[in-house]
Amino acid sequence: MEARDIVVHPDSCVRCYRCQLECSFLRTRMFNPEEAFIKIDWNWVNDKPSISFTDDCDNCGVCVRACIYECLTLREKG
Amino acid sequence: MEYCGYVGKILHVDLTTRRIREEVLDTELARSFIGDYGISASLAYDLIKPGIDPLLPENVILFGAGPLAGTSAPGAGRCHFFTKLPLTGTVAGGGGGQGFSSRLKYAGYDELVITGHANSPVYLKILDGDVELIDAADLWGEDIYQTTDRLWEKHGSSCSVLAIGQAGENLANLSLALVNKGSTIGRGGLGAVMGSKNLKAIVANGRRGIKVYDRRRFRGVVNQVMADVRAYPKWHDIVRLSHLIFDFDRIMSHLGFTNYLREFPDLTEVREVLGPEVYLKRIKIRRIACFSCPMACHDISELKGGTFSGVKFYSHGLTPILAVRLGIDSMDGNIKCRELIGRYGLDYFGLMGQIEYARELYQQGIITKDDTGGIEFKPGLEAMKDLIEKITFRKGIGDVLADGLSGVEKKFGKECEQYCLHTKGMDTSEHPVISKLGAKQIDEVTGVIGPTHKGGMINPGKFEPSASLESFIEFGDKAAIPKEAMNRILDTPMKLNIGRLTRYTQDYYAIMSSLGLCIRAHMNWLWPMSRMADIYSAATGIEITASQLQKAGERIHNVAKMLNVREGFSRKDDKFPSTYFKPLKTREGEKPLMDHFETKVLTKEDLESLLDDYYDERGWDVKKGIPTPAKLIELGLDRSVADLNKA
Repeated sequence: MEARDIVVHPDSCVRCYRCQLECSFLRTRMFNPEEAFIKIDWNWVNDKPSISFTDDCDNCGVCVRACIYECLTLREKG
Repeated sequence: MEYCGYVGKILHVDLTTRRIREEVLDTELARSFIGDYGISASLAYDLIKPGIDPLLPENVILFGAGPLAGTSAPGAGRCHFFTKLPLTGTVAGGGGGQGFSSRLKYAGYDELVITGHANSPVYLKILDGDVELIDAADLWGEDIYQTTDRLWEKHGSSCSVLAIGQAGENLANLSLALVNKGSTIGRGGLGAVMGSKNLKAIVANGRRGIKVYDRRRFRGVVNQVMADVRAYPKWHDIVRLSHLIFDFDRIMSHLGFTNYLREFPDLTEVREVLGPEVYLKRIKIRRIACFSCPMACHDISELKGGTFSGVKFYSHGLTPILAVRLGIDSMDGNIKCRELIGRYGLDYFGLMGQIEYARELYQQGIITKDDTGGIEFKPGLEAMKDLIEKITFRKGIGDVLADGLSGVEKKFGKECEQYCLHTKGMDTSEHPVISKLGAKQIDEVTGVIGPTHKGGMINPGKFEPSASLESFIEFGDKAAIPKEAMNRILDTPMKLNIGRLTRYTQDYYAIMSSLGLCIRAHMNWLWPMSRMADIYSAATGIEITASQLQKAGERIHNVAKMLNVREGFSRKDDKFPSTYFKPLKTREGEKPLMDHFETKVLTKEDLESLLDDYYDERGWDVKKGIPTPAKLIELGLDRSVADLNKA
């Protein structure tokens, strides 16, 4: 999992939070977006998200699979 | 006890005493009424006393979050409210999106019950079980966008904010609330009810995780739904512009055109100025989804350049209905008016209907220039902007129009009603009569709220006037309609008895809304009753079959009906607007009202006969149009039997 990155395309984000739902479900066995390893900070002035990952994220890709809007993609390193 | 799917708690907030208390969610209540819409309806039966004034402290507002809200169940982003509505006098509920229900659950609650009246403006903060009424003097008088931005600044943008604007503060019956600036909730005057309580907004969020009982089974159902979504050939088009991208003429004809003239305009010119191509090229900047939704249908739009440069608007897909019906001949003017309506917290459909109604009365000479202070109710942008302001702030004729039909009747006399397209006091403008009678129209007439997004949405004919008989038979399987009932529905010279079918679309709506699922046409096809039963069982650990779930839907609809039977509503109030019988003028000539398969022109007697069939299919008293004692007892609603004599 360390051999790949998650690439973010923030313009494609529609604020559905499915990435956070699936991440938290995998990690904590509960749906809890605030505990997900992917963070979505929505700027309500320019209506754009800032998407980042906590240090605990190991690029497992569950958020990528959850996102149907192609906001997140996996890229192999090297 | 440990809950799965549910949180297990109801929050009670008394605005008068400022007392805040928690109540454990009763498991039998959950089993019988599922959640959200259903549980709110049942609680409303205990809490909202019949005969009360909707704008006095005795009224109660309930907000629900279903057992699927807050999970990854696709489309589980809906929240429903129940209250006594000032526009109609009915005790009814409606839904809104953008995840208020999910955030309420993360904050720790399945239901929110608001009673009483605050002495001064407040907003309710529910963050991680920390519940507080906070002074909102600095928010009172601000519009919804401003209020929401300020609350996001204070509490974080992942919170869900449900807020009212000045229309609600001024107790306009045409007011509602918005969730996160973009999703409407509260057609019928929820804004006014909140305003009457001095409740400006509710903010919710938290870190309380939602557990499900059988994770593997739950994930299995979610994966099935997502596979269907990914395989849906129209997905890209829906996410670009919802249904409007498919067939502009057909969709626009369903969404309301020149109601009062009953005339279908030439849409070629409309499309060039106001159509989807213009919108996509110049206006739309971003698509937004509700919580956990894989088919986003809300937009953020912005005007760049021109008189209204910088105006931003948040909504569920943009159609030019308002522009066409109210005579606004530019896209920019259309967006500006929609922005004002959103900021002020007005019901867009109600406003259109009310302005058209006022125009009709003006043409009839019932409203004169003396009454309007010189306004001639002409079409056009400036006139519309002026009316929107006057209605919001109750100035001049706006003070009358803000109250809907009742306001107009009070000022100008009961004879005005004949000119108003309404059922139970709510305008039919949202989905006026087209030339085919569908479940939408039967639902509007028999439902407890009148015309809005309800049981008629769950109907193959809703956006597909050419829907085949096979599609209705397929729908029967989806909706777990018993075989003998389906035989009755099909046993008619009209090929389809829409009266009998509507009973099942309403029950289907009740279940989707009680689970917290979106009922919009582009989403509800993903959720046959059997799949909903499967995911409910997986989420909660309460095993239920499709037919048991369908029965629960019937129970919920009957409770919602009984809330209104004891307010005095019965068949006498289930009236079709007289304009249904005026033919629709199209480019191909006049089209009278016909059944779905166009086997006959429908008369008033035909419609009454279909209503007879609807009540019969419900097992109700056909003459009175209300449940029978036997039906209520069968559904476990024994406590309501004594209220049957109030109709």
